Amino acid sequence: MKPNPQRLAPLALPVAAAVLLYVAPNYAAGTSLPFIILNWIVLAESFNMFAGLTGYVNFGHVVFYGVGGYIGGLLMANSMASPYAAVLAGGLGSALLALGMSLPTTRLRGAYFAIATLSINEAVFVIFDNWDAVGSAPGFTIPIADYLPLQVYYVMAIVAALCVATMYFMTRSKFGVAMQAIRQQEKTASSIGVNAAFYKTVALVISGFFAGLAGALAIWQIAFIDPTNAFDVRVTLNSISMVMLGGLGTVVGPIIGGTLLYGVGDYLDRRYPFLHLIVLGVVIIGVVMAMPQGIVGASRRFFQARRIRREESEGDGSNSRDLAHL
Amino acid sequence: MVLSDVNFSLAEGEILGLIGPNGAGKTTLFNIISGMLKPDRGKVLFGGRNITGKAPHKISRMGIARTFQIPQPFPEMTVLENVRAASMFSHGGGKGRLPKDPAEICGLLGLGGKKMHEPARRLTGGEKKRLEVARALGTSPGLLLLDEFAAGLTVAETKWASEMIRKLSKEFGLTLVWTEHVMRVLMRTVERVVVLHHGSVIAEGAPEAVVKDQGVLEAYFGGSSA
Amino acid sequence: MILPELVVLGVAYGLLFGVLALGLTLVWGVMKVVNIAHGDFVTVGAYSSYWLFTLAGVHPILSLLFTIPFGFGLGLLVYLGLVRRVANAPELMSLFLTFGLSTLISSLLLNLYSPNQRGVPISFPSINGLGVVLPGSVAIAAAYSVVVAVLLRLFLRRTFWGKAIRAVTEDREAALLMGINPEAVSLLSFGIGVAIATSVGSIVILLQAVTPTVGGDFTLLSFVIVVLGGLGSPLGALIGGVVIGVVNNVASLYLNAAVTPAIGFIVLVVVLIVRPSGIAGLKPD
Repeated sequence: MKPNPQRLAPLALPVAAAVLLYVAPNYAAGTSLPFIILNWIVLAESFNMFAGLTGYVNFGHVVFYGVGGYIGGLLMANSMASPYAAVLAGGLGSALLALGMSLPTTRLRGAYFAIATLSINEAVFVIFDNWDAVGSAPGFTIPIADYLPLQVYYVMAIVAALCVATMYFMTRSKFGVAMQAIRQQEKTASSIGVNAAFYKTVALVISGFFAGLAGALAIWQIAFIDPTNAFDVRVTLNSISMVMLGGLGTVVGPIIGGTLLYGVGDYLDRRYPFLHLIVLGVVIIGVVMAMPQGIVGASRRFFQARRIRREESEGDGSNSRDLAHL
Repeated sequence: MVLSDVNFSLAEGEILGLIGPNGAGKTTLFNIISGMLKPDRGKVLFGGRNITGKAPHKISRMGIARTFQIPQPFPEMTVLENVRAASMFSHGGGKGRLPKDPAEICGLLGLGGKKMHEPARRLTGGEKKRLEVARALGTSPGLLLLDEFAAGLTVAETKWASEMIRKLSKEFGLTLVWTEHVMRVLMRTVERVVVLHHGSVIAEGAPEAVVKDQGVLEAYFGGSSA
Repeated sequence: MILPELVVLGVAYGLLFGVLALGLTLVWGVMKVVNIAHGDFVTVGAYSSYWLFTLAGVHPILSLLFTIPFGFGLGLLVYLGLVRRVANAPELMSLFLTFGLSTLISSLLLNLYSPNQRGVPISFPSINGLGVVLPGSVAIAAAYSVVVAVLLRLFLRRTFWGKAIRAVTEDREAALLMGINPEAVSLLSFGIGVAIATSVGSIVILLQAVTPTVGGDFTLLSFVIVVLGGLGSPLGALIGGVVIGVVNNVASLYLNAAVTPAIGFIVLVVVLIVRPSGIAGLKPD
């Protein structure tokens, strides 16, 4: 019997847990690499929760990250709350923002939605860039007296696990069916009783919550925030590339894409700073052109085709060439 | 599209034919009933309740289902998944005797067996039309709006469609409004016809009477052929 | 500065950006693809003119003779190589693709020419009239925009291909039945769209210095204008351009200069809430 990827799936969970809890913190101690990768995975997965499931592109995804970072950072800087509470507040704040954003935007179709979110990103940047109470353009730092790398790392790992688990339940439930219906044919979805605006809002709020947590956790780690970094459209760009590479709308796609792209990107950034962006551009274009389903989708197809081929040849031995298109 | 002076009512279990030349306002009327368009004036009553301007998903849950003239299935889902999705969100608005099991509904529309597990995008045109109806029935409606069900079907399929529609009304007690711009099949199937032209009702009555109506003849064949 | 002057300035800038938005809306109308790389083609045009001026002394206005056909050819290549493949895919794919293209163009320019600002040291005499002083370069921009708008209108109204573009914009299937090849029309309109963007780049280099990443700003500005005017409506794009130009300039009189860029976006979001199909809008869908 050949190894079947589906049979190996249950093994993934304990392996992932072992890596998260033991290997990463012990062997990569002193570097922030595992933390950053997890942070990107959360950003990518939360982007995926909305774009991958509903088919709408939120080009302003980084706004949730930035606003979460600002809320968490302000609470930490003024010692108004414990870092844990500050992180949670960052997530909740961004969730609330997502709710507000959804009111006008969930009525917009396709391209209008994309344009509106891109504009919101720009507008929010300008607001924070000129808002003296939050440090305006220079931003602010937070004191790092009570900072423990391991503590931050573990919180990040828990958030990442929760984020992936949430995506899992979003895809494998009635919620997931509603999402599929909206993505594939929104008009029909409403004609069979799916409240499209409601589901889109819920997806955006959850997406905003996790991106906000990621932002607040990032500032806890970096201890600094400014508008240029907090609302950098390249964060959205990275999230899109990771999700596309891994597999849009899939649960594990952002994990694979995030790890791969961050690894490559980090290496490139050190050696050839501007080349990194070229690679992201090429990855997006290449994936759209050659494998729109990403790595997960492509391998799923590969195994499916192989299984069917095997079944065929075991059955009547008829030619398997007909299935080459699968 | 402008509709004015469109006034008619439906009895339970009835099949009403809605005809009129292209652009007469048939689809617009369906869009208004199903909540996809809001009328500037006028009222839509269903079971004594005013449903004018309610959101499409709410109207669907009250038991009004519709099909689209150009089939709009969920292309990546299988036939069965399409119908199952419909039955998941409808909360069984209608109280008819329609089957509740999605697989049974697929079978009823001739989409059972292997077909059930095929992605909707791979169906033929005629099959997609039947899936439209199956999906609509999945919401267990009391009223079904059929938008040009027979257009583009082969002769054999058309005959089958007309029997199907009669069966839905007689056996399952479903109320139907059926539009078609090609009149022949429809006239043979329905008990009562409403004729729309330029957004208003120009005739109403039994099919035999309506085909002899001077206004209707003019609308279809008559003078001002712009 | 005084109010009338700001209004005139706003109209002039608005016309230029309105014409830029025309390119975006033309492509949208024909194939329902929003080209997020639109502004980056402006950067490409601006850099072409910059280098033609710096290396060969070609005046940017003269360099239009290069940037227009160059942009058209580039548009054809991009359409045939990339955009054609996603024209019938879900909208999200074309958004991703052109977003990736935008990233690729700006980062290639970064690698080739560094993030430094580039501008041309050319000045024009200002124009005085009715108590209003208009910088010469801005007057040229306005004049160029009017010429392009008029030519485009004539093209769309009088020529076979222009009528074909309008037919496909209105109803793709009906156009097909009339014997129009929508593929060819898409190719043509994408070429024209990019040619408009690169030629606007040649004018932009007269008005301001550019960096490799400035394209995103132009894309956003075109979006705002196009949505204001209604996606797919050429006249709407010009009106939207003038509205945004005037609003931006007049607002600078009352507001902190740093905040002005946000005005357009705030206007946009408000318009989208109140009238999701734009001011002069076509119906959505």
